Amino acid sequence: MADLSSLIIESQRRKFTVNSVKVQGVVHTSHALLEKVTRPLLAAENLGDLIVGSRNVADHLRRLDVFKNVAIVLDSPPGSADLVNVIFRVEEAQRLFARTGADFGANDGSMNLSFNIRNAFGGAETLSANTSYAIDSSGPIYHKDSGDMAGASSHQFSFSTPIDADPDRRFEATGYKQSRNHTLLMSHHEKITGLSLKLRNLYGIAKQEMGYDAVWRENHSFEPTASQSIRQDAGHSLKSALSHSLSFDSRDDSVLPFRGLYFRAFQEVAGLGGDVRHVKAEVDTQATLPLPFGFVSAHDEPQSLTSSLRGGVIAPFGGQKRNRVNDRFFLGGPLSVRGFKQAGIGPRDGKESLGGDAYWAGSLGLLSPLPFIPLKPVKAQVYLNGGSLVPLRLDQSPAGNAQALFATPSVSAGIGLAARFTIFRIELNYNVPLAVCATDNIKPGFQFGIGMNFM
Amino acid sequence: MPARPSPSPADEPPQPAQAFDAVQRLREQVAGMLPKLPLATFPPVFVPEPNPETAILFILPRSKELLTSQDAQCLKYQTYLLFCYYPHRVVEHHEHHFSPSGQLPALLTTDGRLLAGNEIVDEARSKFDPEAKLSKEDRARMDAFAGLVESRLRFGLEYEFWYETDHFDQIVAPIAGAPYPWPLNFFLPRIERHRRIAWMLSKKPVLKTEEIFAETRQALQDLSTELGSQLYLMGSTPTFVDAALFAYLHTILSMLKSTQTESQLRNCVIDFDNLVKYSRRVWNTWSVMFI
Repeated sequence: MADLSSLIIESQRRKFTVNSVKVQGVVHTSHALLEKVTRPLLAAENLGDLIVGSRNVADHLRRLDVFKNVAIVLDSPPGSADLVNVIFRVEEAQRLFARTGADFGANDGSMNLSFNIRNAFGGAETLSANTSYAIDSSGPIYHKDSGDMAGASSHQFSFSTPIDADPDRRFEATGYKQSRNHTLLMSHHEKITGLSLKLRNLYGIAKQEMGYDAVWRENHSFEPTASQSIRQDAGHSLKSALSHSLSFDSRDDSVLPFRGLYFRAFQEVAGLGGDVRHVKAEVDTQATLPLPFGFVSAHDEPQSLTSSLRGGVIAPFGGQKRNRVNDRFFLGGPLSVRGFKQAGIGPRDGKESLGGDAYWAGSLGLLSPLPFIPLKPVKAQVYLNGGSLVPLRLDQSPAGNAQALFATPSVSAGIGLAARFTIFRIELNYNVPLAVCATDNIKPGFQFGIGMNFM
Repeated sequence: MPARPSPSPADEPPQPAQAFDAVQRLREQVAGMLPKLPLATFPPVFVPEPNPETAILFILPRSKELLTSQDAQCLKYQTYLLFCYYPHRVVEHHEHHFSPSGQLPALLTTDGRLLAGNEIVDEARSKFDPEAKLSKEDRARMDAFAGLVESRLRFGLEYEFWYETDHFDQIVAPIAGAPYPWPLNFFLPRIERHRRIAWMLSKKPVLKTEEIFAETRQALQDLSTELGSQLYLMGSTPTFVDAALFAYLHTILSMLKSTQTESQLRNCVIDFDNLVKYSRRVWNTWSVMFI
């Protein structure tokens, strides 16, 4: 074995010229794509280049998510000592797959159907269509006006392709149509029809995404009891917006982290056509640090101090005086500020959460492994969290708006358990409200939460 | 056998009621020591707008030249509120979804109720009922003519505005699409047209121009005969049926005036001289108050 390694190491610099590159087993994948992926190999000059290069190419081919397996064969043509034929033996993965399912959530049951074509045009593109239909169990099944089931439904068709054969850079185009039932938090239904174009760059430490969205929203079927505040936003609007997001994540576990940093910033400008004009900016950060000195359990699992800070603002411009409810922020609930009901913080009119134009929310907590099961993804936590959501007042100075935002925080403290199940985090906490606004919808006592992105 | 010592009162087991009181007191003491939660309560960050001081009638937008809504339904209620001397002001709105019935107009009262359709009529009558003096027979006649206006005149108007391609393209679509950005200004009027034609087809299996206008003409003939030389249909005071009749006549006469293609419906109306004069008379009498 040692002899073989040393033989390879010694012969690293031995001259070799690539005579040919072949990819065997290709049925649907285009030649242009394969040529682009394998081209760097032709520059190989010696054995070292050849081995590293062919491994890189094989890795690249695997990451295109087109092939089930990729094997490398190096072969010398007879009669020549320094020519090499490189052969990749590949097997293409199943191109077509469909899935049906039924889920049930907090307030509804849903059926879904999805259909995917992998490598649709031979360039590692993905075509997918999925549709889901929800039945709302909290209201009448048949809606009196439309005859439709009064639940949420969603239909989506998307096309995704790597740019320049690079699996880390993708272009995605999605057309979608959704219908949402907002009667739990507000008093209306919303129809959304949109087209979204995205450029994703997952390369490097910070992931970036550029996007364009054109969305037609229709707020309809207001309940007779709906307030004037929410009725103001009845009807149609068209948002045409450019957006950009930047994210960095070094956490050991994005759902239930013990160490690491997370940062995400999102910017959006709406107003390239359409009748929605706003600038929106949102930041989400989380830092989780293992505690030093002895705060370590018997199994070396650290206790961690975790802190989160989020904030966002949406400001209308170009003659628009206010933001519609479709664009405003909502705050409160088990995934953001615990101890408050879903969207329980901020402007309200009667039973309706109206949403706000500026918010901040922060949390400081301690996560600790449990005795007896220190290695399981179940942790105890104690935290203090709070935040505020306010309407933006254009007749006031920025300082006045900032004061309104920070002067009246809604704060609660709690203790509980957090566990990770596959990609979800489940929490059960006991909360006590410490400071509230008179109209806040608080949830003192036990609160259950399930989701992916907790504060 | 030694006598059992009688238990002293201090050793007596406490009665359940006493124990309950003791626990209650202890709880109160503990609660008294704990801070009251929440520690601070701030004023709300948002106060909804108070109810209006005068009632507000939300109608579809008015045209530049006219002070009335370009929608006959809105004009009907706008006129009726005037007949009832109902104190209100008019605000333009372009979203039918705003109304509780899904169809404008809507009336926001001073006590914060938002009304639509017949609720507006009832609310207006609660202030002043222009039909109070009508006899039982007159009331039945009024209802019959209101039915005639609502079925035949409305159908004729819907057909002329929404079905006739020229009128739709030249008059209706630009008005209905005006509040929206491209491309919604193209699609929304056409979606609405589709909906209205479906409504027409729910009333009639086939849409024949001659048949529809013959029916409208017959209705106009009946109304013209009934009106005769009276000031209003029911005599000297305006009623709900006058509001409806005026709304349709005025919309037909004013909005179909300057179209490139000749309007058959407008020609029908012009043939009845007393109806044209009636429409003009109502307009002249009440127009000052439409502002």
